[in-house]
Amino acid sequence: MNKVLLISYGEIFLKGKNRPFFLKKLKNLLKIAASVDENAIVELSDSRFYIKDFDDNNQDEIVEKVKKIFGVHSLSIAYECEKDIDSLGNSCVEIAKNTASKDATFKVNTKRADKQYPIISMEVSAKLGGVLLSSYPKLKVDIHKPDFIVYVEIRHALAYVYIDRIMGPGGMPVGSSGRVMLLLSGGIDSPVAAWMLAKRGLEVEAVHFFSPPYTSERAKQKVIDLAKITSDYCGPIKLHIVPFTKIQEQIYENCHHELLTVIMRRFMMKIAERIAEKNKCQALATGEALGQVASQTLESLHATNSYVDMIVFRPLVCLDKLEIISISEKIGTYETSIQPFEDCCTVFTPKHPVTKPKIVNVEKNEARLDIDALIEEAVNETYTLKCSNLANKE
Amino acid sequence: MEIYFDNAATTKVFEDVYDVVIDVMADEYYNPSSPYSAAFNIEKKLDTSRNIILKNLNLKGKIVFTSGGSESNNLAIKGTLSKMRNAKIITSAIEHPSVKNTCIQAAKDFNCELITLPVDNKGYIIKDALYDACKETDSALISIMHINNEVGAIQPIEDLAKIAKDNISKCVFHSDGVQAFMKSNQFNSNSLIDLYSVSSHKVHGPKGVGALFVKDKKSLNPITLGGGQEDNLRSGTYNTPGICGFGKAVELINKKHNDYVSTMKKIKNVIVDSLNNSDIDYIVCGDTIDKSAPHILNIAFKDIMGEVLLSAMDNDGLIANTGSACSSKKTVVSPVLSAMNVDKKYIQGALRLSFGAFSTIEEANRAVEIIKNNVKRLRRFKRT
Repeated sequence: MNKVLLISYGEIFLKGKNRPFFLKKLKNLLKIAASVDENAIVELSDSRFYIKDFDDNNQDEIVEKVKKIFGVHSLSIAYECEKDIDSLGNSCVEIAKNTASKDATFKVNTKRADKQYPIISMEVSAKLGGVLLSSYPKLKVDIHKPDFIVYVEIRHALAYVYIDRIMGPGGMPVGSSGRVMLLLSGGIDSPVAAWMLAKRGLEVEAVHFFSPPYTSERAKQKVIDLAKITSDYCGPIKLHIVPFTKIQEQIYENCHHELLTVIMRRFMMKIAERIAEKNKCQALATGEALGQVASQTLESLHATNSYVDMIVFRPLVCLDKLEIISISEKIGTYETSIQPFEDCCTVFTPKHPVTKPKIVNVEKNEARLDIDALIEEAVNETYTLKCSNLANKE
Repeated sequence: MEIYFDNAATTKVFEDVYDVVIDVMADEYYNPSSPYSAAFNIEKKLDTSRNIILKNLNLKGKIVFTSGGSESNNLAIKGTLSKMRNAKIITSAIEHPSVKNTCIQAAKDFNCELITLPVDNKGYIIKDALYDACKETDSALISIMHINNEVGAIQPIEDLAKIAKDNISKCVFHSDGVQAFMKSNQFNSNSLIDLYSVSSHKVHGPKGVGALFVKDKKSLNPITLGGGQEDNLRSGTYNTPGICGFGKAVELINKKHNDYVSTMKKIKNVIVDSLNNSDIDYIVCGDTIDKSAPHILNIAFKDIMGEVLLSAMDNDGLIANTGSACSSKKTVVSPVLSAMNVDKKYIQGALRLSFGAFSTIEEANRAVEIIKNNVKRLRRFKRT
């Protein structure tokens, strides 16, 4: 009887001939999670992943990491045993040890992946129920609303017994859908966007626009911290920091002030696209939600979108602020996002920005700037950090 | 070379002070409360520090060593109130958070009335408000800072203590002297001050050590209990390196006190004169520079965000501080400047420059050029 982590995957199950590609990606991510314990191994067999041979002391940390891996549908701490009824009975008694001490109700739920197994599922459940009742006399059976369920999976080689099923995040393994360049601001929205993009299997790189002295070192550190938190889900994030002060000052001095935001965002998109191309990303992404602020109206989004050729993902486009906050709390970025270092400088935020910018006007204003040179300079001065919570990396 | 003009936040430790600190750590690590002779020797050194501090205050009473200014303020306020019945707490609108927040909490814990005295536009306590606060009260704890940390306003604390003592029969007068110690003049021998907080790291001593002057030890209860050190007013093993370093720092400043103060005053003049001769639109927050604390100059620029200016100056090698801090959606303005009713057009652009024993006129000349250049550059960009 060995303790193992039993991991089931969700959507990958629906894949056809390319399923091995996705499974390989997921296995690699599970291996990184299991590397907490140097002896732990990850096996794929019979449509399940198993993490085995880990020390009990490392169990919780591995579980916490696996819970955050996209592609994982659910995970359970299970006992692995031979398929005979005696071994199964022993495993059931062991796994119910903590739960069965009080007057609780239970049922046994058996699944046979091995259809050649000589006893039908119902009968296995009944026999194992009997074993549990004789070991724990206070227990009662309730097949409709039991306090706990003992799950028994009889697979081709061995059998598994477990009680709790911890839900994983679902989605697709990170890296299975390509690479995206996200505009990361330091607010609440963009880290949530990173999480959602990663959920669909995208590897996320991020670009941050830094405008000293108008934004402080602490504001930049906050973005690095956010990238680190999201890296728990997305894997290590390459964060490209773009010096942006000169561009903001030039826009301010040469363009209509009510257009400051839209022109600034067009610059950001163009620079992000350049950095994306350099880093072999196939798409851009932002944390924009329709109608949230002036720069997120349909007209403003069109003005920024039409300035780039790359496809732009906006995973939050139809979410309410409260929905975004709720995800942000769930993934652990909220507390960092609301630290007061962002938007410190309102200098470049017009009091009355246009909500429906006309492209003709925008272009007329932009014509007063040496756009290509400004973008070239910003891209050239960009530097990159690797953000991850793994030791010795930033 | 970096210019450090944020000495009201903390100061660079004198070299002779860290020699003392290291020597005590390395060679005289004994616990002064122990019975052997090595312990007795270090105990004597603590008393030397105690006497140096007392002598430089020119007050008669006891010095209780603490972990710093905040603890001294906590001990003064909570320790006094736990001995008084039905006391009022009277404080001012421009106190340091370690006084302000302690008074708010103590008012709840001891079920006291809390009165916060307003200040005028130069940062001075309005005396009529103090007279009013003294009415119909026979016992009170009064806590008013000596020199304000943001604008350098020097309160006439002896006068204020006299008003309080003349009008309230049982009255304990505490003053937060963290910014004033070794900057203002010594007290008169017949001072009315009962409790006075000081801190080491504001006077080029090590961090993590401070003291509370206590005129009458019967006037307060301890807030930290334990082995009964410091006449049972503050238990805990002595921070011997810190206390010896503190004493050394005070001794060193005392030797050159007049030179330091006169240089700091000159620095303020250099900066203000240079700004006056430029076309920069600014105000001095608080009283005229000859009347405010020698080491603090608070100037506010029109249409500038203090924090942005700070960050720009930092890049040019000038370290200072600001009265306002930004939060995500709104700019939080300094409560001190608000209490002084500083003009709204300037209040966000406040800059606090503060000087110490290492500050020089040459630095002031360079600093003011950095300030002027950055103000001119940043002023091109204001929110429209």
